[in-house]
Amino acid sequence: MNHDLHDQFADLADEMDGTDLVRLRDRVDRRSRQLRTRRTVATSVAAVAVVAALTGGATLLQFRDQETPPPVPGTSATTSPAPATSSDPPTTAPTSSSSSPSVNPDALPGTLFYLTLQPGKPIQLYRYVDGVQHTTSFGTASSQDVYASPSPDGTRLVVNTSPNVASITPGDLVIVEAGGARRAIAHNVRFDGGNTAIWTPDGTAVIAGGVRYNPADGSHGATGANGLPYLAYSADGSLRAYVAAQPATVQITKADGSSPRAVPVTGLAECERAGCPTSVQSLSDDGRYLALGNVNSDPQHVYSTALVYDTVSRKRVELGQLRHVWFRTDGAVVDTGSQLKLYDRSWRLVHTYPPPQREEGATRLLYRP
Amino acid sequence: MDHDEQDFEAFYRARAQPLLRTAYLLTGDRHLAEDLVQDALARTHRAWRKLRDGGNPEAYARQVMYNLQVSRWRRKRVPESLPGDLPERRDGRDQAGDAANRLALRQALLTLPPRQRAALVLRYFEDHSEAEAAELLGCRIGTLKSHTSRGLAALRKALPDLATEGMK
Repeated sequence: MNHDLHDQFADLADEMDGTDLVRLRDRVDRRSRQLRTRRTVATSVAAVAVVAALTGGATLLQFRDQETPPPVPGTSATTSPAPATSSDPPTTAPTSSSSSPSVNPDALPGTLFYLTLQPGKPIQLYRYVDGVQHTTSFGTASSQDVYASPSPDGTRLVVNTSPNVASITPGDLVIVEAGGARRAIAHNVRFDGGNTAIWTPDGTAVIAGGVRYNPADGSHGATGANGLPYLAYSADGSLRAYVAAQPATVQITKADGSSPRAVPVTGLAECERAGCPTSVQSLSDDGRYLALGNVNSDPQHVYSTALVYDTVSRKRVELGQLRHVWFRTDGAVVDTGSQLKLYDRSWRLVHTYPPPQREEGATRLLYRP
Repeated sequence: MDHDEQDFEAFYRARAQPLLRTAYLLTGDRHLAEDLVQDALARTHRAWRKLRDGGNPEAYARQVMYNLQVSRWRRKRVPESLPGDLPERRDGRDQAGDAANRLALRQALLTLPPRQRAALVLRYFEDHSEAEAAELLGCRIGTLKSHTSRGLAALRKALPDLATEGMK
C-alpha cells in the first residue's frame, strides 16, 4: 500500500456510490414522521408519570434518547388522538370487549418481511418496521437453498436445503447469520408437505419436520407430533395450529401442545370445488379464526391465504379478495395484493395502507405486529 | 413546501452523499450505511427548526450518526457483517490489488470496537482535530487519543503494509 490512510479510507468510501438518493429522502421523511409519533407517545406517558409522582405514585419513569445530542433537542411534541374505541356492539367479536388498533396514518404498524432467495444471487431480507425499511444481507443463495424463514428479530434465517429439489430429497437445516455465515444444525431434514422450518415466536427455537431444534447448537427434541405440517403460531405465541389430517382437519393447541382441539373444515363450499383449504397460515390469539391457504401440493409450499375460517360459526369470514391474512392481538391485517387493510377484532375496517414499494425479486413472507 | 422544508431539502441534496461515505466506513455495509444515514437525517429533520437558528446541521447529523452506530453496537441489534464480495468499482480502475486492499481494510476496520473505528474515521478520513473528534464522540481528548492509538495499532497489526507513519 502506498497511499496514506486518508486516501485508503477515501478509496473504501468510494464503494458507497449508487445510492438512490430520492428513495433515501423518502425514507428519511417517513422515519421523521415516525419519530414524531414516538415522541408524542413518550411525552404523553411522561406526563402521566409526572402526575403520578406529584400525587404520590411510586413509579418513576425516565425517558432519554441516547442517540440524539443534547444541545439541540427535537421539536416539541404534538397531540395525537387516542386510539379509537369501538362503541357499536360487535356482531361477531370473539370476546365481549372490542378495541380498535391504533391508527398510524403514514404506514402499517408492525413489521412486514420480504425476502429474495434466488440461486447465485444475494439473499436480502427487507423489513418494513412501521413503514421504515431495514435491509439485511445474508450472503449469496446456494442452488440447494429451498425455503428460508427469518427469525422474529430479522437477524437470522433458517433455510431448508436439498441436494435434489426436484426429487424433494431431504437436506441440511442451515442457520444463516446476517452477513452470510452459515451453520448446518441438522441433516436429512424433510421440507415437503408443509414441513418447512419456522421459528417459534420468541426466536429461541426452530421447528422443522415435527422436531424442535435449538438454533445455537442443533440440539433437538420431539414436539409430540409426527410432523407439524403448516405449523403457525398466534401473534402472542400462546396458541399453535397445524394440519392434523388431510384432507380437512386443523389441530389447534396451546403452544406447548396441550389442550388440543380438532377443527374440521369440511363444511366449506371450497371443499366441493377444488379441495378444502387446509394449509394453515395464521391464527388469532383466541383461536377462533384461522387463515387458511389452499390445499398443499408437494413440493410447493403454500404461502398465500385463500380465506379466513371462523371456528365458532364454522363459516368463512367474507373479506373479499385477499392474498394474505395475519392476526394481531387487536385485529387483523389483510393483504389484498394492492392494499393492506387493517381490521379491528370485529372485522371492521380501520385503515387502508398502500404496500411498501417492493424490491425486485422480493417475496412478501410474513407480518408481525 | 415551506422554507424549513426547502432548507432541509437543500441540506439533504448537498450532504447526503458525504454522510453515506462516512456511514459506510463506520458500518462496512451499504445497507446498514443507508439505514444509519436515514436515522441520522430523520433526527436532524426533527431538530431542524432549532438548528436553522445558528446551529450546525451537518455536525449535528454526524454526531447523531456516530452515537447511533456506537449504541447500536452496544445493543447488538445490528450484527456486523463481513460480506465477501466487494461492490464493483465504476471508474474503470478496479485492479485486483486495489480490491484486495479495500477488502482487507474494510475487514480490519470491522474488527475494531466502534469507538476506535469512529475515532480513526473522524481523525484520518474527515480530518477533524483531536478536540473536534472528541467533541463529536462526546468524550475527553485523552480518551479520543487512546481510541485512536489503539485503533491504529490494531490496523497496523492486521495490515502491516499500512502507511501510518507519523500517526499516533
